[in-house]
Amino acid sequence: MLRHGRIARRYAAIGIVRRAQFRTEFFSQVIMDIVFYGVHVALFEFLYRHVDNVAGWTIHDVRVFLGWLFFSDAFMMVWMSNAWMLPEDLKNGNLDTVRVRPVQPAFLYLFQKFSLEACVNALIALGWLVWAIDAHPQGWTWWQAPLFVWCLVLCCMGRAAVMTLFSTVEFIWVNGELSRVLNLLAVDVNDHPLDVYGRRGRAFLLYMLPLGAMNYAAASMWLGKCGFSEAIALSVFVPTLMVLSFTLFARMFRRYESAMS
Amino acid sequence: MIAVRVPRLVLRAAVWELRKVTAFRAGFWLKEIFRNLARPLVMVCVLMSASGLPQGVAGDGVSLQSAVAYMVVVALLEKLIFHDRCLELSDQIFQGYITKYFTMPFPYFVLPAGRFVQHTLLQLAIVVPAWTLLSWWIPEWCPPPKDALHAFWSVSLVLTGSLCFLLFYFTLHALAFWLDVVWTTLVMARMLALFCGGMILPPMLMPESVQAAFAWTFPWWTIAMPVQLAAGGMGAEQAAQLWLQGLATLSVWMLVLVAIAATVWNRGRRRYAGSGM
Repeated sequence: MLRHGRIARRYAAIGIVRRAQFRTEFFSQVIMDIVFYGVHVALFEFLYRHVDNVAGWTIHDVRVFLGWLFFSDAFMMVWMSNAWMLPEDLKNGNLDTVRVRPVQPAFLYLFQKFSLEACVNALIALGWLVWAIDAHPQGWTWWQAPLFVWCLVLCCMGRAAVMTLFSTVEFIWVNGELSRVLNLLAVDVNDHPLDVYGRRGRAFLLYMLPLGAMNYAAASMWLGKCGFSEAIALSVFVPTLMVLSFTLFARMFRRYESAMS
Repeated sequence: MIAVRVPRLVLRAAVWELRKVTAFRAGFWLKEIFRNLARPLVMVCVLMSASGLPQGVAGDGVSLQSAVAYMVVVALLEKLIFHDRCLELSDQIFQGYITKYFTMPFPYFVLPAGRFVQHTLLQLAIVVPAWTLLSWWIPEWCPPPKDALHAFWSVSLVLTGSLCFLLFYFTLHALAFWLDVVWTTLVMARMLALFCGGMILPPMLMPESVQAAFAWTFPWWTIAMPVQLAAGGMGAEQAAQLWLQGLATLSVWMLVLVAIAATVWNRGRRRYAGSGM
């Protein structure tokens, strides 16, 4: 773990230096994520002018849901943007350095591109989340602080687990860019509460595919949309999923040969 | 001579592009056949699970059926629109391998144009049978075009708008001459275009002031209006007037985008040093 921490610190330092090279990109990424947030907020605000609730989620619930979505997305942008590059790197045989394996290959590769600008977005996302929670009729108490922190951790673990899991597909079907397609699909499917897909759809997307691990699990736990037993189950499921997906990535990585294409 | 050679080169490039996209089966199915289906279908699920939308046609035109039908047709027609991932210009500039195209005896734009032709033909081959089949199977959720004329009006606007998208994304990619990395700009532009074009939320659910503002943009006339035109909910005279208005708006946008794209491209070429990162 200590070695992972040291490498993460090094990646962060490199990420900050890289940002000094592309300064316009810094502002561009911050604005891009603000546009992402704005489009989602506008979508639901416009929709709720015509409907009372969506699959049992009121506008207040959805605002909180969006907060978890934005935070989860910001975590991905801070640490895991390299996952989008895997298809090309794999095709071009650029993963040789990861073979050194001083730590988990998934961590070494996927967490490589630390993004300083996404930290700004993470702060904006947290600001929105805190505002939405505060404005929610059910309110909050200081006793919920540990749950809030745990939900944040679950969001990060869920995002890391799902993106790593999708990346492993790339080792089976090189050139298909399947991980990229799956990640895009995840963005489309997961930015609404999973209850809109019905009970079976929700179960499939939460436990089988498992897109819900990224932010739905945290949102539904915080809002009490799932029972106590399911909250416990999710608290065990998401970390287990992360460990399994990292292990699977390490296994699949053995199939990698330089310049596979 | 060039007038004959360039179209032939565009067709040749289109054939090669077609061979490329069909080379990998999993990628072909996911990227070409199922492209752009998820988002509208997710919105359909959202609308179906929402409570409060009237089931029948309401006075203000907002109803569950009209909103769902709109999103289903969007899922089909959006496939025809050229998208930013069809271009690799910014990568080519960033990595410096665009130099080789500058030395070739044809304009670089032949390659994006070839990809545009390939994309349009392939997606038309997917969309037309899919729309026919769906409108026969579930006509209440996927209404067929009112008649052949309405279908022509609708598709002609989508394809003209798609050309605007090609020029728009080409310009954004060409900004890499100055900015090096433009993927964030592309993502941002795509999200705004999707929203302005009514590809995320049916326009009838948007406030009227927002609809009026979006009607100044080309994405609106590329999707939101063609889908409503195809449904044929308005009189023939009004539909014809809207079609002409859409064509005029898109033509003005196209002229502006051609001028911007040419300026950015020419200035960028002058700045380009021929070395990659």
